[in-house]
Amino acid sequence: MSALTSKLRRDLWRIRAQVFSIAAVMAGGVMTVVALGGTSSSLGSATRDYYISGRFADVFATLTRAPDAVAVRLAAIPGVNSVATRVVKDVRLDVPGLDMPAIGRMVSLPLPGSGGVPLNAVHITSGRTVLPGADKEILVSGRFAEANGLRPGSLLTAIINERYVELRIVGIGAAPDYLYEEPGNAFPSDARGFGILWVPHQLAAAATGMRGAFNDVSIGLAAGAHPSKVIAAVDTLLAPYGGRGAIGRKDQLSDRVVSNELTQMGVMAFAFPAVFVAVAAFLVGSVVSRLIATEREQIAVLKAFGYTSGAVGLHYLAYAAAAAAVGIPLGIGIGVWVGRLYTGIYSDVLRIPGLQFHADWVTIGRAIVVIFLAALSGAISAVRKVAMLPPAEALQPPAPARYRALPFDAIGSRLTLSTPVRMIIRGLERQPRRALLGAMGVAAALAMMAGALSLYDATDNMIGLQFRVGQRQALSVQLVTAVPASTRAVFASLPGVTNVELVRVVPVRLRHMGRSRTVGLTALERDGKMHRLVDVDGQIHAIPPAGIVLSTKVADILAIHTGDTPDMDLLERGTTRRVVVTALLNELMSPNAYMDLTAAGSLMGDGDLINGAYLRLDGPPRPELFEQLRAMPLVGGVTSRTAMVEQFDRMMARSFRISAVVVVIFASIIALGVVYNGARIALSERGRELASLRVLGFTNREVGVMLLGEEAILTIAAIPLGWVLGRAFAAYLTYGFTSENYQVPIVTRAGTYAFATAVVLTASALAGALMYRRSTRLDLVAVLKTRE
Amino acid sequence: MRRFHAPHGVDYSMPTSAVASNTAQTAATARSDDGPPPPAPVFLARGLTKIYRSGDLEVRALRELDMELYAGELLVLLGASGSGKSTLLNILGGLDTATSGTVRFEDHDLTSMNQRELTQYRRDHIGFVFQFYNLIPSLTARENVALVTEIARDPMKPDDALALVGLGDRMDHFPAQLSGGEQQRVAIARAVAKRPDVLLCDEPTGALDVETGRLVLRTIDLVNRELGAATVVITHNVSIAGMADRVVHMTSGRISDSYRNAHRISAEELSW
Repeated sequence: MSALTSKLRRDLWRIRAQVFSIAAVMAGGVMTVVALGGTSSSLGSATRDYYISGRFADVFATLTRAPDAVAVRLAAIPGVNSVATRVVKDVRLDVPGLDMPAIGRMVSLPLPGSGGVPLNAVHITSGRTVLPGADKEILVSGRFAEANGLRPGSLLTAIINERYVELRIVGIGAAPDYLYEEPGNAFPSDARGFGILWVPHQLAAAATGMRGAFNDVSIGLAAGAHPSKVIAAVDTLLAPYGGRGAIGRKDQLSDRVVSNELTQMGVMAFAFPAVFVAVAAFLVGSVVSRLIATEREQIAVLKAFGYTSGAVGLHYLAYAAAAAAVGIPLGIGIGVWVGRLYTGIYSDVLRIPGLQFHADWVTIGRAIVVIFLAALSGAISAVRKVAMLPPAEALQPPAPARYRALPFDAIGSRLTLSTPVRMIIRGLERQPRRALLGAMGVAAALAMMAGALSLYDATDNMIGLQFRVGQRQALSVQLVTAVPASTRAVFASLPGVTNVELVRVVPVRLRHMGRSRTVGLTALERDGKMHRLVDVDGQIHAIPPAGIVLSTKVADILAIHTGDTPDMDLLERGTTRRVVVTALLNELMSPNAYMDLTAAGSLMGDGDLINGAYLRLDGPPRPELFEQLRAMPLVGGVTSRTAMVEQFDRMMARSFRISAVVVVIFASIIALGVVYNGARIALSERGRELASLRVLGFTNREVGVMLLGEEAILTIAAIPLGWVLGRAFAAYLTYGFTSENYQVPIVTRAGTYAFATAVVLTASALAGALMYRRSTRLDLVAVLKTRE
Repeated sequence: MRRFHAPHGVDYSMPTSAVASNTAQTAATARSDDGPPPPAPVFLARGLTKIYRSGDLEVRALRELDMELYAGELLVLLGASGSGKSTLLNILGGLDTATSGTVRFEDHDLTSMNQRELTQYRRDHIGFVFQFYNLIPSLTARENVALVTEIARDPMKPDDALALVGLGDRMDHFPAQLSGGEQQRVAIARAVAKRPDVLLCDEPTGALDVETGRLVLRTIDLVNRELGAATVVITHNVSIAGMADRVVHMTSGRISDSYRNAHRISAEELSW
């Protein structure tokens, strides 16, 4: 082992606490890259693979009804490679153990013997597939099965053609078009109350009266085909059959949710590592430059004996490399662990077969390179000074530190600052850049924590607006068909029901300036109290007596302003009306259109029809209420608002626990690392001065104040800075969560910021305490005899 | 004429017989002792032993040393490197503790004090002057002095202390703007501004040239006479001995020689 290597080894051991604190910050950077980048790439690649193996279609269309022969004409459209027609219908389910009626989306399986892998193929995760000819066997989706404890062999009752039909679950499945199991209409749903049922074709056909016909089509495109051209052709072809407008993958609900998640992950996988990398570079720079300052004479001796500047420079770069060598494996280890937890949460929400956390080695490799470069860039300017230092000059002690009088001093000595306070302020004044960077480091820790935790506040606020301000019904009842408004009396007479409000949701397509969008038009009672129109700021908006209220996002896409009169295609009826847009609503979740229930009836020309009801109850729902609802074949599904909110809260809480723990630990590491190294360097630079003060009769405590005063001021100054940066960080993160369908307003909660501040202060205090303990062990005797 | 300041809380109840008997060693080696015996010892050390242990290595820095220091006297402690003079100074100054033996400062037993009490002792009674000045670079001359007067019980004004060492016109300069001799005089002003009972100077001229060193010694001599603080100057420079009331030679952790000068000569007359 060369002498320099021995020196490096021993010095590293001597300053191990500093090296480790830097390594920990680097580990944080690597951890976030591995965990977030890995989750993102695992999610991305599992989805891509599954889209290929499951033959996820490229274009989707729903329609009222078309004969099977139309499929041949669809297949003839240029650019179309394959066509799969299905029968899709929501049916009422009675699930064993579930007191509420549930909705099953019945999706027909391809006829046996159609050959090859069908489009949107169902992947069996447990059990078996449906046997040919067995018309009461079905497959159910994973989230629904798990939420209700259903297994292969379990029985479900469905209401088909007003008859109760018993269906046997033979397998649990997943399909690329239902990775995300939501109904996709304006009715709320929860995991227990909505599931996908893949059923034999003959059962679906019989249930809907669609023998020899279909109402849903998926299209696979030929390589190089342009989706928009195919979509236009499909729309033209299906228009006579009640086509509701074909969509590409990007508008398909399940794929849209997956894409959003990937985008969000991408934002986070960039933002978090960036903070760590910047702090690591700063720490490496300050520690290495201090090391070089203390070893000036040793450097001179090495150079005088003939070591090249390069060799000496490399020696000091090796300290940075050593921290990286410890931090990187540590970060990878923790990152894989956290990544597995995150991926676990995703696999509960998105049923992607084969979704498992895989450390993405390309990303890790990139992270390693970036961390190494950060470490080197931090050290390089200090090391350059070493290389430039002529040996003869290095043998001389550095010029004494020059201090200037404070600006206060010039003003006059009216400000009676105590001498220790002057020392602290002059120390900060002398190294403004270092002071600023140190404060930025602590602020970054605070900002990272406040920003990340604010995301949960934002989500909580969103849920609050949506379900505590906007929708306040105890139960939403979805009906299988439209019925007259007089049905209100039936619901009002149910046990425990104190209030009933009626709703009608119909799919419509709005067209304006050559653009179009399909939205759910929700017709509500104008004086209703349960479902209210609420904007992002929590303001309630009244429903106008005539015309529609449109989500701002849809209005922007369609270039609609208040007063415009777009065409509205009533997709279930195949007719078009012209409506006036009376107001725009900047809401959290879009796209939506609202109008008054009575006005909707006259617009559609079918009178006071409804297909849903909101119920308010006198207490928790009674079993007999659910019994009676189940007994009504008219009732499609029932959703409890509390169940839905609880389900959401549970999922968020799980994700929050992991994120909060990780963020708190790593923000603490950053704060601790910055303050510890700052104080450690101050102690090394001023140890002699402080020891002299001890000799002069200053107590440990007084000397401690002088040592830690600068760090304390920096930490305190960093806090408001951290709040501002935290808010900006939250804005950046929520920006990543904003999509065409969601807006996440940033929320600044005092509690969250106070918590983040407390964590940073605690970490800083801990670092200060460690350094204070060290300062009490200064060698008072040595200081008398040694030259600076 | 010397003015004696009554040290804070001094109890003169120490039996004089003990002092007399314990000064026997000193008296035996005295070459000239024509003055009356000084009033009372400020320090009284008996059987002082200091052993530094480092692993298996054992270094005896002090061996059963007896000594005393009287109020107002200027003592020059001579000895080669490793003779134990710094160890003795450190123990007297409350920076280090003896392995065995006792040291009394007035009526306080230094050997029984804990770290906190030693700090308080240094704060109240001791003024230090270091070889390398050890000024605080971020504070001006005046503020370096004020640093100590702010925590002292009955200090001088910093300006007066600086005037005493002849730096009345350099008070607002930072250490980096002062010469070595000026820095050392600031250090002396800082040490004496609290009106210490004892002034301990460890090689105060070690880092200075002859002319500047002489100026610094004159300052020490001046403050000793003006303020009456018992003063110990450590040096390996024998020429300085002439300015002392009493000279003590140390060799291998013991006092090998001790004598009283008939006349203190002024710092200007010293040469080396």
